[in-house]
Amino acid sequence: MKAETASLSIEKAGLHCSIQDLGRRGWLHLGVSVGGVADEHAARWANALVANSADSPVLQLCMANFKLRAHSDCVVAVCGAEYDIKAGGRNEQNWSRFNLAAGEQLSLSPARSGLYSYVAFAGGLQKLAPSLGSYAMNEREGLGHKQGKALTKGDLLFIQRKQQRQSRSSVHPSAQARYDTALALRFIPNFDWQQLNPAQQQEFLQSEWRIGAQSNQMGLRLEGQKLELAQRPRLSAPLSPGCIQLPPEGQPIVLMKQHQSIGGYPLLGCVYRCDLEALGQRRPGQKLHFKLGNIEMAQASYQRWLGQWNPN
Amino acid sequence: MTPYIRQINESALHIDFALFNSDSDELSQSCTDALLNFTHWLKQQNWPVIEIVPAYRSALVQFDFARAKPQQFIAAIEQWLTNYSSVDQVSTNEPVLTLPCLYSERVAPDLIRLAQAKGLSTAELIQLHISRSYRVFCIGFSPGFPYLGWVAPQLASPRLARPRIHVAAGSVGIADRQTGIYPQAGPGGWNIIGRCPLQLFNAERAQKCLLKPGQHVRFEAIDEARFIELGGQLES
Repeated sequence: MKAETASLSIEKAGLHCSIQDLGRRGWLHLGVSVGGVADEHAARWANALVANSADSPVLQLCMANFKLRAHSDCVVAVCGAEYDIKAGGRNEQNWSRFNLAAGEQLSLSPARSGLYSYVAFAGGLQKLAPSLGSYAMNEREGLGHKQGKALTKGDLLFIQRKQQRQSRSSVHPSAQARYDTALALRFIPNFDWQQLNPAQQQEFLQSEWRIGAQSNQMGLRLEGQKLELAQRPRLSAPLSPGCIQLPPEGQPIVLMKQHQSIGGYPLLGCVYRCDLEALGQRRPGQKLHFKLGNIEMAQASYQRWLGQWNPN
Repeated sequence: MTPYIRQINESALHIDFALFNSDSDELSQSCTDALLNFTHWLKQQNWPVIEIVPAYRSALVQFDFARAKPQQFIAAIEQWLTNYSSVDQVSTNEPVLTLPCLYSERVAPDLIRLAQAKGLSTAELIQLHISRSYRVFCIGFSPGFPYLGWVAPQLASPRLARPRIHVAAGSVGIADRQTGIYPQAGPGGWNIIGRCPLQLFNAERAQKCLLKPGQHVRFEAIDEARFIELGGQLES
């Protein structure tokens, strides 16, 4: 079948509107972060609804108003933050797939809850410029499509139109995530966790932590009961997403996917990989608490989570 | 499991090389050598490893979760750590790489302040910085940023109390006894004493990163004309 290229033009984009995929793997040793979609759960579902591969690049919208015009017929899926969605003036559901005809506008209102929404197009985005094997845009590192600079009004996107394989048109309600609830963040204790005394450990687990305004995709700064930990100078060690750092001011930072590759603050442990996605959708001011876990449970949860898209 | 190998999450192991630290210093050459040798050995194992991220004296080994769980490799790594002897080393006898640097207040906002604070003339400060070679301990923080050490004790100075919002690409800085170069413009808290005209990181280049861990480098003072000739930018 001859593939046909269709184009779309962005008519309104927020501050951090970008193209993302599952990230840049294998370059952390040169200081290049993995990055990629902030919420892999929603992004994977958006791609699955239009039968794209899981690592197919998607549009990542960040809270703001968004408008896009289609220049030929296409099939779209939207998953993630709770936006009001209109396609050619028709109301459409979040976590579902729908048609957008040539000349029609796709518009999303500012999100009511959550931060990021994912728009996937059947056939996938084309003619993008990758760096280091990934399209994921990273503004700080100047990598990915447009050297990481956010998408703006007037930017053109291209999709490869293909015949659509039939699959379910919406995500099962049980898999539709909510982002307005208080999160219980499971973590694997490690490193300096044992340096906290039992009372401090209890305090850490029982405290309610609030996501601070200084948070970004490198790390979420939490605010709550200050934790005193004797700090000694130490050499920087390698880090990974989910690491819980405790800087001298006693307020933890949870590292997110664009984290720096090495750092010298004490570490209390690492958040479960599959809990990072829901965390990435939480807004400053939202509350969470930590829940003690272990490696075996974390691995089983991650396996189950991945199984949603690769059932066998 | 030895305390040297920790499974930190679903797919990664953290390995501490402090046991190879031969003297009372925070970090000895033998520790850096052990890390280099470990990285070399692990790359030959044909394991489902996504990558190895070496830091000063520890490394993170990231496994491909879809293909294997990290716990099945702990015993083999433990055995390597037990059997490793500094004799069977990968040679690191590469020539010392010279890094040109423009030491001038025009591009280095902390040059004069740091010299005054240390009771040195600017020329003396520059002389101290160029008079020794440094080892690349690791690359990290941002793409291509090299952590080099150690500077002469007289030059050691803490990071700025308030990091700058903007540090120009190529800026050469000092933090404690480390020196380093910012490959990209961005925020930073190191004391800036010069600027290097070379491109430290370029994702499009075959050799993406100019420097690699274990390598030795030396700074060379150049003038403005030479700085521009080498592709340097005086603006920030």
